[in-house]
Amino acid sequence: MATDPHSQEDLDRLRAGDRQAFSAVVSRYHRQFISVARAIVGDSIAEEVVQEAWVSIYQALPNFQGRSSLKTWLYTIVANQAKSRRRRESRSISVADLGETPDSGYLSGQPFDAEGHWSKPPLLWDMASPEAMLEQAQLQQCIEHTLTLLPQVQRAAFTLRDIEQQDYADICNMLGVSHSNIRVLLHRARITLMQVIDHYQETGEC
Amino acid sequence: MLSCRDVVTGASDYKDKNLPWHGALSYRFHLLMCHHCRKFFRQFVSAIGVASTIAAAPPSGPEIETVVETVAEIVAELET
Repeated sequence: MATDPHSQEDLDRLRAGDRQAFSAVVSRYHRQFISVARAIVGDSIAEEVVQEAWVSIYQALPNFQGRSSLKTWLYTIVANQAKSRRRRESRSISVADLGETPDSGYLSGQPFDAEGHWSKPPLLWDMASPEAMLEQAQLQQCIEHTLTLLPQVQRAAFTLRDIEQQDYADICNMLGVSHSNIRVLLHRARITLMQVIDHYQETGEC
Repeated sequence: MLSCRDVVTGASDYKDKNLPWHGALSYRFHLLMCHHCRKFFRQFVSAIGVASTIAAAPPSGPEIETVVETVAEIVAELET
């Protein structure tokens, strides 16, 4: 499990109801919470659910005992709030939410010959370092746009694993999805994002 | 013996250490032998890093302030 990024001083201030500390936590996690909530309850009520979760969090913070990391505790509250709302709305994550098997790109099988060897190997990226890529404003826009187009559960899996470094078990629990499905969701999201960068590296466009 | 297609399919499992020891060994051996797959995996990991950095960018100040104020109002109402 990743170490808690919040210092003891942060935690003490949060427990004491320090508004600036609370704002910093909202700033850090709000977008990610929306992503997770969308995966569980859908677009239309995700923001409302997250707002309710923030109220619950604010009220519960004085009693946060630190048995888990603050990050895990926060995400658990949001996921439980969303699942509770989902039960009331009678919505469930369907197989369709996993997204379809791509008909092009790395996961389609097209870059490979019948023996599974590369027939169309990946191009070597000109911009090899993450720093160089992060300086490209248009690439940032391409990736941000692609993130909005990902199936919601794929985006939530990517958020929880690659931004928040949550364990697979915790992700399964939060999203109510099996381990094998999380693996599929996450891999599809990662490959989709990689292909955006591939295309940008080759053409300079999204 | 893994194929290059298997390497692409299994890249997340290898990266996240979800493979059994013999699977990870086979994967690693393939990477040692195949420069295309080495390039793929290196760029795969790099892509994840770039995309997660971009996705983690915080929202605007006003958006956060709105959320915090709304929470404060609701909490105040609940406490009266």
